[in-house]
Amino acid sequence: MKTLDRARYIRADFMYQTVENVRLTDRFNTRQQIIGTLYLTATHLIFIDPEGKRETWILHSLISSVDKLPTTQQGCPLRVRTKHFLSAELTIPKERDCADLYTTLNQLKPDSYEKLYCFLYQAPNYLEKIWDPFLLATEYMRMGVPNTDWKVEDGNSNFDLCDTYPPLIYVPAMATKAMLIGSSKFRSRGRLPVLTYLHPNGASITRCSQPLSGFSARCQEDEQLLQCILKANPHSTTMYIIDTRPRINAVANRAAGKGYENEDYYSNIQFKFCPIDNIHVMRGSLQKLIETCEMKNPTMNQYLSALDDSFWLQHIKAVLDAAILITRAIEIEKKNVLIHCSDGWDRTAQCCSLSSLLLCPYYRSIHGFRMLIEKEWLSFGHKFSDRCGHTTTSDSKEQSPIFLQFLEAVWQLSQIYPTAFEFNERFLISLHDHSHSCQYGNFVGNCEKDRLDLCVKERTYSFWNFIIQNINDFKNPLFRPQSSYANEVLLPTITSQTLKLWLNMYHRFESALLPKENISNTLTRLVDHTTSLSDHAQLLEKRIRELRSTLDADQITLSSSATTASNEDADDSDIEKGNQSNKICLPEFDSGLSDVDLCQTQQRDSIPSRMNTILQPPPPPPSSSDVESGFSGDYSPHGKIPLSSFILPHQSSLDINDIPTLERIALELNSIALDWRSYNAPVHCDCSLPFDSAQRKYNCWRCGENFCTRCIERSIHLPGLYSNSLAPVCKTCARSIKSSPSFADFSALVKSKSTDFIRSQTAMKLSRSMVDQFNTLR
Amino acid sequence: MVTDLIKIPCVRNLVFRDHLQAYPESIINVTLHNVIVTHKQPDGNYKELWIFYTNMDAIQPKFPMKTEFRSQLPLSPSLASVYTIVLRLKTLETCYFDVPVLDDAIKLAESLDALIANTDGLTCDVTFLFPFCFSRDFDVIQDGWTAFSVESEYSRLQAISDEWRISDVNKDFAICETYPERLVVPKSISDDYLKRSAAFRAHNRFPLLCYLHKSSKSCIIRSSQPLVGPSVRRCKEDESVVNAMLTQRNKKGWILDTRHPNIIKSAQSKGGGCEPDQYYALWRRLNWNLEKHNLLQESFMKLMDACIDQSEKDRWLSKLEGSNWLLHVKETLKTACTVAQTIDCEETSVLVHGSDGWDTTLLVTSLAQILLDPDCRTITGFEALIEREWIQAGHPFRTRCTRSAFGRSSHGYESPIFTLFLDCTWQLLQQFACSFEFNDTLLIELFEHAYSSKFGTFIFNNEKEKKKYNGIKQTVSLWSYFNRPEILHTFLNPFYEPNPNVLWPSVAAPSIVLWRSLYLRFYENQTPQREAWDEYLLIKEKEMQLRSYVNKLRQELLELERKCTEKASNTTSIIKTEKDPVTI
Repeated sequence: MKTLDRARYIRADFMYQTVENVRLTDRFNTRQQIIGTLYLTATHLIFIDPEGKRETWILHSLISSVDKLPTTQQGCPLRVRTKHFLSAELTIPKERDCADLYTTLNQLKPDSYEKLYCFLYQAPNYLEKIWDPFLLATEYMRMGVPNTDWKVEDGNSNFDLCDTYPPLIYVPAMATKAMLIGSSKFRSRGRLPVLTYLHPNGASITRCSQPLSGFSARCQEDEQLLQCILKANPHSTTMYIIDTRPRINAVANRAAGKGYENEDYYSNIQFKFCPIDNIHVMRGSLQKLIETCEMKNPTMNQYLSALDDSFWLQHIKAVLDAAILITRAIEIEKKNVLIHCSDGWDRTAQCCSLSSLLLCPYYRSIHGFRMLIEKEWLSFGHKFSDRCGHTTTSDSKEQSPIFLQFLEAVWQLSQIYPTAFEFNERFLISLHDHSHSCQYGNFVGNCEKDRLDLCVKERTYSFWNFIIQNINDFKNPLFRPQSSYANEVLLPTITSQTLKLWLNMYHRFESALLPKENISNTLTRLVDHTTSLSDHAQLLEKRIRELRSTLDADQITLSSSATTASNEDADDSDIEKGNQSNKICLPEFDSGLSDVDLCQTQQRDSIPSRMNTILQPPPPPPSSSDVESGFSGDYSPHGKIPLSSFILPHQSSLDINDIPTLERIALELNSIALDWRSYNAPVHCDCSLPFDSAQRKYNCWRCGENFCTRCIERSIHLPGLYSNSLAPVCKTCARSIKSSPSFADFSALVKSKSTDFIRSQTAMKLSRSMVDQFNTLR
Repeated sequence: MVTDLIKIPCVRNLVFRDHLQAYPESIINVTLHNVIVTHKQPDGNYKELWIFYTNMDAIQPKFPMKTEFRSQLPLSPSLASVYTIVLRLKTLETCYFDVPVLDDAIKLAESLDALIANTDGLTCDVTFLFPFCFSRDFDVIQDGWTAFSVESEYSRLQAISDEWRISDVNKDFAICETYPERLVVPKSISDDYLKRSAAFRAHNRFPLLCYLHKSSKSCIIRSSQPLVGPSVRRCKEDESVVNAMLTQRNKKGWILDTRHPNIIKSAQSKGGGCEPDQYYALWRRLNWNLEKHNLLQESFMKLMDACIDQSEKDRWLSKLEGSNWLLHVKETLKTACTVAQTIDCEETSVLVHGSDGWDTTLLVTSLAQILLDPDCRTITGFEALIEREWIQAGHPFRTRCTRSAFGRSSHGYESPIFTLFLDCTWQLLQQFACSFEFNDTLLIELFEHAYSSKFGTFIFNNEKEKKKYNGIKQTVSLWSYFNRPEILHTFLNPFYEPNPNVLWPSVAAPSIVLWRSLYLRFYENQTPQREAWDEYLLIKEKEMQLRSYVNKLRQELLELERKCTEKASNTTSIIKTEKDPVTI
């Protein structure tokens, strides 16, 4: 929460209460207490120590419990626990203040959806309330559905069949309306079997809820529908039904008129149980895990046995085991798999999404992972509001860390395959936190219908927009798209020894416990530095060519210099245009990835090819043709893509004005730091905020020093960059660069070019998606 | 003779398995020094796995193998068509051999069993070990036997303080068998005093300087326990030697005994003990409860038992807890931190000893040096540390590493103390990933070579033994092998940034984690991790190359700029008409 601008939030009219001389107790260093001031605002509980070095911001919606502890000599201690695993003990000198605070904190818990944070939240300027529409149809289209075996059915467009399913459902081509209606009546909460994933080999994953079979009931339509699902896979004569509950739970459900499929009624079915425990067991397990993490200075053995007793890692393993079983059935046995648990929105969501992730490399990209969550969790009605306890109206017995377990399972996989995932740990943590924080509207409500009723798309910001705007923070620097693990089906062998405790999730607020030097941050720094340098190198190459050509032109004959120079210029700009168009136009041709995303991968991909040229010996000195050939490999686009008509004029106008003066070159050189400060050296940011190792730090692209996220501006076009992209710059550098005289005309130039460009891009994107929507509706 | 022990030199047509794969139609050849397993790779090529005899830790035949049980064996092949021999290696690998013929299986198992017993470090003839027949197959750039001399350490020391000298008092190991011949001692102490002090210490291991801290000039000293005995004897010379090393005159030093007070008491009744306060008035005492070597061995065996248990019957974490291994790691690190704290924050000297002064003592002093001294975090510095604090300090490598985590020797002297040291170093490495010049490959290699190696570095119990068997001439030093560019570069940590500070690691329970890349490296697929490592290197390399490329471009650009301005001033025509004239 530190990212928020503090001036905006500590405003008098938002302030409920201020308490001075509050002690914050550090769990691992009980002797050391920080004395500071506590502010209670409409949205946050804020603790600031007198020097303003440490700030603890706690969003009200993240608070899971507030407990009064026995009074001590120093005052009344209040323990605040949050859903993102912060446990703060605040000792308040006066008992009345403590009681007031306690009451207000409890009153501030939202008691209805309307009071959730997302409806109040004012995002920083760079975020807009753009919800780029997620289309289930696009995702199914990617899998090649509809096809001869599977069809789309709009029978649920008014949520008639099932109110927790999306409007469009995908079912076997042979299934009739009657079968669907019949089956939906025979399934708990109408959640009939529908397609969620189709593997290239023809095997599919379908999901549903438990049948209302009791001890003897049967339903012909349901049996027929399952036969249709079986026949939709031409390669196999049998299929699996996987019940993700322990057998005993399934049997117990029979007594309540529910249960599981009777193998006598369903022919060619192999029935399997995957024992994953229910939401109540998981809630208890997390509680024990939290208690383990909160132990005061435990011995090694106390800690390990408490961790063992929590059973948390065993539960994660059970989920992963089920996912691997399904993956094997699909990939190796080529059989269809139908997954259900009780209602088909908790364990089923976990298993479907994890096995899809193992099966399909697309889901391991940031964009694909988003699709996975939109599909398996949001569209198919995982009850986020109930499971995360967004409002006080929801039953506390409904809360359960189902989504967290899924994220942790993904994290465990990313630990086994460090190069296979495009996103990093921070991305997963951020997803977890925002599923609780309600800062964005995405995870509000219990199903799509709830979100439609609340009009979240019109009234709130989108989490995915926030991710895309900060995409560099969420990328795994080790991700190697061409590696075998990023391309293939993953079939890990998971033993209990494989799984580790996720320190950065559960212990993240105890920075003293975490490694002091963080490799993944260092890697991100190296990758960012590489990006800045390669961009800068492109510009330098161009400048060198320009200067050479002017020098050459002068040498040949002074009188004809004008024509030669213009020729050279023309050549140059041609090459550039090719390059630019390659970079910029691609997003339009590929609907699969988001723009920012794609630009990034493009850049990444281009690095190896750039390195080749870098490793070549430097081009031999002047002779215009040599210069050309020396760089041609570098700049020639991979495939000639026709330029859109509206890019051209801007491009050439930039080139005309873009003639280097020595002053300009000096500005360009000064604007890019050759060396970046290591993350290990500084202990605090310029603003005196102490750095800890896990924190994301940024290097200013101009001076190369380290800064915290608050001290970095991202709205500067640095003159030294070829691509004109926005670069992170520290506030001092931003000021000095803005005030330099030659920067003014540069930025004016860039602005006219880029804003037009972005505007046209967005317009195109929106219109395209509208076309898509239109097409699918027809 | 070894050949007498080999009952069957070759077994064909068996299935060789490890934890990840099975290779049918494999062949075992038992040769003079190795068991060679020839197995077919998936690509059709044959690969040979060479297992040194010294690397075999234990076998577990899954059938009765003693001759007296032979009659009870099922004779019908239909009942038991395959006989599995499980061979556990000291490097922690497990090999399975499925032998189709019972007789072959029994003979093979008996041969292996006999060979394992024959390589016991305490009883075997050192000169029959493989390092004595290994002839060097690479060019030596720097001879490892002479790379780390007392003289070079001494010159380093002199830069900080001139109160020390090199003494030849131990020439021909005259006063202490487990110390090297040349030693650094305080200038103010004569050789006679040292001799008397040696007589007062267990195994004559008198107090010796091991580290002098640059900023505070305080030092770490190690010795063995004083022979105080039940009658509380004293030795004034020993007191002078110890006091001479208390460089900080105005402060009391600390004597850190790594044993529990009860153990000290029982040691005292047997003639040992700890320095009595009344005679060592300049020192305060501190006890730290580090376990003895045999308990560590127990713990190591339980740890590996937990690691290789795939049955899922018992809970992994409780088995891990039951092994106590991480507890030992935590306690050791904590002790080392205490020493470092005394040296750096309290600025006073510490004398560390246990009973013999060649096990836990070395563990503590060497780890404290890694925390305090940035030099120890470089590759050469780390090698020097091992040479100085372990090999020359007389850690009995051959007896301690005679068995690893699966086997049992008849004498029970084996102990994973060096492994514990490497594990603690690894814990530091993963908490301070950028402060070490080396990566965990170096630590794993050291682990493997300590237990079984073709080099002579870890096969002697002390310097005297090395001299006796002429180890320097007869064997090759591991450091000669390591210190060549092609090997060294595999040890480099791409993120290394020299860190001049003292390291203060977290020793809280959640921060101490299992060293998977050592203990589980044969039981988990390591390819994805290796791929990630390659990517690390690539990212770093890219950044470095681009940086120098940009630098070059910039210089080129400035050069061109200079030419342009020259031209501009030479000719009246301005390069670009619409621009103002420019000056640099």
